[in-house]
Amino acid sequence: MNQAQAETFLSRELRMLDQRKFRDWRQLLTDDAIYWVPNGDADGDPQQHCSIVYATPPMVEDRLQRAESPFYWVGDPPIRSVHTVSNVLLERADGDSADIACNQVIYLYRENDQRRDQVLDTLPAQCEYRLRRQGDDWQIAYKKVALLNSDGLVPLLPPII
Amino acid sequence: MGHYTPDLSRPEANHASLYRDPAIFDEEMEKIFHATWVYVGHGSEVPNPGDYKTSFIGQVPVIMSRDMAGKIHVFANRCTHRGATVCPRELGHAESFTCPYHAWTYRLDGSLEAVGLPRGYNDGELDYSGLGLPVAPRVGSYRGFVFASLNADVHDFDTHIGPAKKYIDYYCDLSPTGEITVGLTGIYKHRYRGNWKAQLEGSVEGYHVWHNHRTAIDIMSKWVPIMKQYQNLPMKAYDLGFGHNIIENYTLTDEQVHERWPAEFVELLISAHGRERAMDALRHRFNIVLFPNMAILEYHVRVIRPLAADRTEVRQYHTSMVGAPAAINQRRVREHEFFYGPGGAGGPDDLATFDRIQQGMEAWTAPWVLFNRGLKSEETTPGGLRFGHHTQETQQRAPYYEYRRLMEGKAPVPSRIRLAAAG
Ligand code: FES
Ligand SMILES: [Fe+2]
Repeated sequence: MNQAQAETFLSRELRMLDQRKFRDWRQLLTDDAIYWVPNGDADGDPQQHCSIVYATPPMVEDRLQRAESPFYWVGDPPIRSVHTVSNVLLERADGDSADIACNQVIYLYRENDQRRDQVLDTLPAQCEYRLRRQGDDWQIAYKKVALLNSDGLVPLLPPII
Repeated sequence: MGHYTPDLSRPEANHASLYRDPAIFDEEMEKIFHATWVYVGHGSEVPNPGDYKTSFIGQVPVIMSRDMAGKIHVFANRCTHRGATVCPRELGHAESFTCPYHAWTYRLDGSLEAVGLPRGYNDGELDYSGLGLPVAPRVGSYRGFVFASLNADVHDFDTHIGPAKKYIDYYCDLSPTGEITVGLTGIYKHRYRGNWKAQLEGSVEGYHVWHNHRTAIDIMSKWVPIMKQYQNLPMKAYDLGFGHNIIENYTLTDEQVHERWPAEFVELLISAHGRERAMDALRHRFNIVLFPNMAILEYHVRVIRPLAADRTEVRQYHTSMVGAPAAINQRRVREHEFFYGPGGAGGPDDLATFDRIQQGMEAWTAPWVLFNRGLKSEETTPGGLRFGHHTQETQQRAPYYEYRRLMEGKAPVPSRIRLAAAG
């Protein structure tokens, strides 16, 4: 994987989230993938400390099942997002795997019906990925989204950020 | 905008002005939060001499510190000179607190130790003994949970906490040493645009579970199958007096205890506490509200901080069982984060709903908030506690007996509450 491929991969991945194609995003995960959004200390041990999300693929499935339900009140109306990605650093790469660090800014917006005054949420994050080659494609074996304010007030989130 | 009047709250309904009116909100701070016992923190947050935590009593910023002798003090985080906070952190360790402005320095019990450039004060201008940080006159604790009151004449802490003790014991006894930590393994911090009482009522809400949390229950029933039947379980909710109340979520049979927990853990607790106490801890799952600002739920301690009539902060302090096997605590981490936090499968639906409650309450054409479900069939235990089915609204009515007592400024203890406290 080279720099251009890394950037293309991330742009495509984040576009899936922004289009709320969460099932497509799910297909990017390896069977042993970990998707992690830390809470509090971003370098803490997720086995001992609660995260905002710490999920294996079956747990991601649970999240998607919930988000597709008509009883998903947080998503009624849905939370929309725009992700921008920058500072993409290919930290390590060989033919079969790659470690990427990048910054993301995640904008979240959800209309709040009768109030009509919802402000836009802006969530800067430092992200880490471990990608693995699967045939001609790349898959996510590890994705960490360390929100800048992970120890502060975080708004209600869409199923995957 | 008016003031609180007795016609605004009845057992079966509250008037929406209790949730909307800024003048009533200010009155609540004074007559409730400044008058009764308020939860400020847990001993595990300040384990060593010199450790401190900052918190709030109503809107008063406070420091809870542990002095060199191990004693816990609670005082306002407000320099008595010109008002700056003397401590900028949530949790930490200090030998003393020095104000950033003119270096007034306070000891761990809040007393004034020194001031900057003292020679500029003439005789009689500086009274060290009268200028300590304003101390909460009453501090009480039970099993590490620390409560304080700004009211020197508040009723006795032991009476206040009495009927809740049994449940706090069940909770802490899930630890083989009987000790828990609070918040050291994670704190979720939320705000919602709604009144603090929506979360107080919502922390013991049995009626909404099957519907509002349907998506979570579907998933959760993989590890607690009886959750699927939540609304049909023969569970009760109790008014414990002083505004406190408890809802039983489910109670496991011996067989279900063994399905839920690994045998080694069950045996470990039995050898630590004896069979009866251990099985009580393993069996009973409940949420308890300690009026006015705290609740203890299966995985966390919840602290409700009123910010304005239509603005509330809620923190969920994850609890960990000291001495329990790592796998048990790890499971409690995963199960907690499954439901709670900004990305959880349950808690966010509550918060989204509280926001909608506040929006709907703008409709003055329908000003009543109803709590009459199960009022007619409500029963009383021999000890004087009101109770009903856990999907009824005994537990939503409960805080308002104390609310009315405090807001009406009469503060006579109704006889059934005195009975409840005794038994
Ligand atoms: S305001 Fe604190 S020392 Fe002056
Ligand atoms: Fe709920």
